[in-house]
Amino acid sequence: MLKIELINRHREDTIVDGLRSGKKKTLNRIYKEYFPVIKDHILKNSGSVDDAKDVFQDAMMAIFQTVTDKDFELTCQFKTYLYSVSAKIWKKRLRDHRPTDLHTTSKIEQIAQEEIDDAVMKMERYKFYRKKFTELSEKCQQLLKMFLNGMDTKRITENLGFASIAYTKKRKYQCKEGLIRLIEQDPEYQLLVSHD
Amino acid sequence: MTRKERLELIDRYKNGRLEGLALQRFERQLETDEALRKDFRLDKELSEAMNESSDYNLFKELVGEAEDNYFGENPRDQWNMSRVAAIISFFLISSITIWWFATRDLTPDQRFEKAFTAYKAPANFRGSELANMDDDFMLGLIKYEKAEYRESIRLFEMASSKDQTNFTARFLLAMSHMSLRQFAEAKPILEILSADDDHLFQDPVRWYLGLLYLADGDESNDSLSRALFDRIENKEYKEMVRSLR
Repeated sequence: MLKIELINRHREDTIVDGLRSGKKKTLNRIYKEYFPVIKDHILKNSGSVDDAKDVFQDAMMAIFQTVTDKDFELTCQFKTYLYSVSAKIWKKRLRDHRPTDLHTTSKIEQIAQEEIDDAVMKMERYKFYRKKFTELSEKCQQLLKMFLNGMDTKRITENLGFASIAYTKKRKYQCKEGLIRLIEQDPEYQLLVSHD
Repeated sequence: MTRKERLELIDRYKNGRLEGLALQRFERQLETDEALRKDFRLDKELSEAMNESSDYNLFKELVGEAEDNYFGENPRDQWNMSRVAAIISFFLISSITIWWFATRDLTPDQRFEKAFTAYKAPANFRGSELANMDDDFMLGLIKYEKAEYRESIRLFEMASSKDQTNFTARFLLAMSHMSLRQFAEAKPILEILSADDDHLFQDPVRWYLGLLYLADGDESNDSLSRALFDRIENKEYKEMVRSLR
């Protein structure tokens, strides 16, 4: 019995370690073993296969953010954890679009809801930031993208044809402030940070 | 403190330009100043969400690959894909047939105008590739995508002069020239690429160089064009050649 438990523990640890280091083998295995379960859940709750794909991908991103936290410890089976995160994401999406009851299993309620909420909200925020980014002017998008990808200010100045490095910096802060304003003025953002 | 000042301060902290007292003060402020703490978190999350090389985005690419692997292997999805491919092929063949009837009496110039579409710039670079990417090349891609070919020519020329093995830069340089109908400039680049086996643009080079030979007004080049077209292996390009003939 103990041996089986140890084997299972080792199995779960291998998955978490694989996720942390982004091992392709682990990711392929997760898709193969668990996607059908999540797909069934989404299909049973008025979703499509495409919805299942989106939710599964988002769940993976949310879990990645939790497992990279040094204090993370998996307190249940990985399958249960993934199921709970996926169900949470799908529930949120349904709530955003059409209120409905979900057919869920009781295991959702059993594991650390707060941790899951945090992970899902953070992943949703990242998606939201990317959406808001596209609302900036094209020049601002180019400028911020270059900065965020670590390009040297002098090169950015030359390539965007700005008059001076000081002006580039000034524009950078204007664009960044603009982006933050777009984010903060959107009511969705208040929902995404409200539970913190 | 205004938001601009807060953002500047956060930048100085992130770039390691705060030291001693200033650093101590910043860390203490983070604990006590709500607005600074909020901006600090938002800045951190924004950087991670938007930086193509962040762990978050690199991981996202890996998840995308795993999804492709999974659905590529799944027989039911393969069947669905075959159905989609059959529908697309049907529409493609119909369009090509219509196009052939519409263009069979055109001059070489008109044919070129009809057949030429600039090669679509590769966009799905991995984070690691982006991090190591030459600035001129990256900017060249942006300009090329926006069809600002004079600028992309300048940038790709700089990128390829720094690295002759940057075949993408050289190929897209030729594409930029062709898009501006600068055949004399595009020709030597494509001819050199055509004689080189070390890149992945073999069939695109054969197609575009063949097209260029047909449009350059020199009929003696028509046989060269045919020879290039005959060497094309890719189904899509073969189809394009067939429709051209």
